[in-house]
Amino acid sequence: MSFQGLLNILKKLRSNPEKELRLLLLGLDNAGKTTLLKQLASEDVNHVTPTAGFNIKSVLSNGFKLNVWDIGGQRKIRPYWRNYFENTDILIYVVDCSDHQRLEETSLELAELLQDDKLRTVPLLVYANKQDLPSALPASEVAQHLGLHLIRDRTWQIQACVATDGTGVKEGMEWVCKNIPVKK
Amino acid sequence: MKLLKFHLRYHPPGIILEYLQKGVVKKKEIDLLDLNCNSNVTDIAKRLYEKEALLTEEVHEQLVQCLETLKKRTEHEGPAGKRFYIYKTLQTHILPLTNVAFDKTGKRCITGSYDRTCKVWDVDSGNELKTLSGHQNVVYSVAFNFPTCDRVITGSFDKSARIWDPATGECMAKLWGHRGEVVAAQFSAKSDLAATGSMDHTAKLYDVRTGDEMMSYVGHTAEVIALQFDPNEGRRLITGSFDGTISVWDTRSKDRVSVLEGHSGEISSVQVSWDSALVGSASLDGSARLWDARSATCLATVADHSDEVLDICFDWAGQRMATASSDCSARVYDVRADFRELAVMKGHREEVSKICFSPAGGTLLSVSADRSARLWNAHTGNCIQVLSGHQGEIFSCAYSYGGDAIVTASKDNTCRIWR
Repeated sequence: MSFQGLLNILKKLRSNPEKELRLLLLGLDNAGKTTLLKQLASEDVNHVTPTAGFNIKSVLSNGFKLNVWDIGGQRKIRPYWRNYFENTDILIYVVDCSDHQRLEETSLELAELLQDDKLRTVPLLVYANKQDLPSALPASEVAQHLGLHLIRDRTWQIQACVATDGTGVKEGMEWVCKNIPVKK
Repeated sequence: MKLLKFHLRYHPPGIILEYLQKGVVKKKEIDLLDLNCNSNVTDIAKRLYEKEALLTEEVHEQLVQCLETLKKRTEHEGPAGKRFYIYKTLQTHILPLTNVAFDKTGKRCITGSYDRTCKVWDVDSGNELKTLSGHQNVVYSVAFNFPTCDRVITGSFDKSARIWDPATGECMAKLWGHRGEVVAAQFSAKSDLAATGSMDHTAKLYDVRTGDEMMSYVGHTAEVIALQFDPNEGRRLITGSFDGTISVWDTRSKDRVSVLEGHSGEISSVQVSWDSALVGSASLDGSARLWDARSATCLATVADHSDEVLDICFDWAGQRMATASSDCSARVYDVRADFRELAVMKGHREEVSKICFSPAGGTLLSVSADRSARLWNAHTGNCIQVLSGHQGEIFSCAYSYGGDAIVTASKDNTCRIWR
């Protein structure tokens, strides 16, 4: 059932029952968040346009219902990321590994996210995306740039992937399902 | 007592008597809710003399004239109806819109957004008049105080509501107290009170002038996502919840007056008819119910939809109700006599998320996830017009009081005015 109205937003906003998770998908513009979301939902990934807002999709995985919130990454709308932090179970951060010039920008944005109170202790999955491009840095180097090994207050994982053909996406989600925080 | 003047009220039909009593000018409203194009005006006039001491044979001619004018108004749309064309596209916000509303004259409209603001628009020019900013998160619900429309209330995911002066853009009061997102907010009929519904399972009542919390209504066991004051006295508050029940509260007591139980799924919308006699509820269990507001009994359950019912509304005179559903249809029911299904509106290709009657009642407006809005003959169910142009799902709509303008809000981040 496609259910896209305002009521759907309220339904997704409810404190999640057991076996239902809220995943927040963030990253700079053009990192590949919406493509990743569509890949997760097994949808056509050929016509993705910049997201001026957000998309929500529900995906079933390992017996869990994952409500994935894909939030637009353009600079002017990044200040609004905080709108979506409440009740997040897992934070997924997507990085375009071929965009060397913006590695610093993306690592600053991530550092800011990790400092936010509402995302405290929320497990972090980083997708090192666009590994199919010749100029892409390997996941290990991206981890270095992002300073992931300095993280002490949460579990984290970095996963190399190609969102356009799905390589590595499933592995990341398996990590998600294994690292689900215990519900209060 | 001396009768001074007649005033007409078009929607719902009624006359207002202005009279002098012991040197003081007073007003009395008489509802004529069953007035329609088949009414016999002379009979109604006769009935009115018998009931109302202020009305005598002497004013017969004026009274009949008033009634004729009102009668014409109820049918002025006719079956052919007015055609609407895109008038303005408002590039409203950089992030998605939420709810929209018109003021009474239809000259201004307000839009809520994920960009944490509410904007006030001049409908004629399409210009932004004011941005109401201050909320720390999504502005979800927006409303004017009717009929004066000199205040706006916004409900936000930042767990607060605010009262604004739309003319200056100034925040007049901040309503604190909820521990969850505020997703419904309304003024009472006299504009002295405001009620809020929240994801924290409670509803609250506030003093509009001071912003003080006056009442916290505890009783629902899930999110309170819809509410409505009774339109007359404004002393009853009706709330709808994801717990599947509807509650009736009194503004003078924190205890629940009654609970309307029967739905087996979440409530998606509640409405109160103009005369406060009926409550309509829509539920994700696929049914809509009609309740007697005073005795708290269920008068009818309609279960013709094959999927979730997402919205419900009464026409202005409270003679019919309409429902919108995920099954892509809208339906109209008689609520005065036998709760018969009067019309089925089929044509949308995806869920119908919102519906409303034109003020005169001849037309039903529906908006859908299929990116179109449609106008239907409310009596026959025939589609009069398809309003297309939006590039994303439409989830919000409103009719101006005059019936001459429509506003639709879409996931494409634009708001369109149709005239």
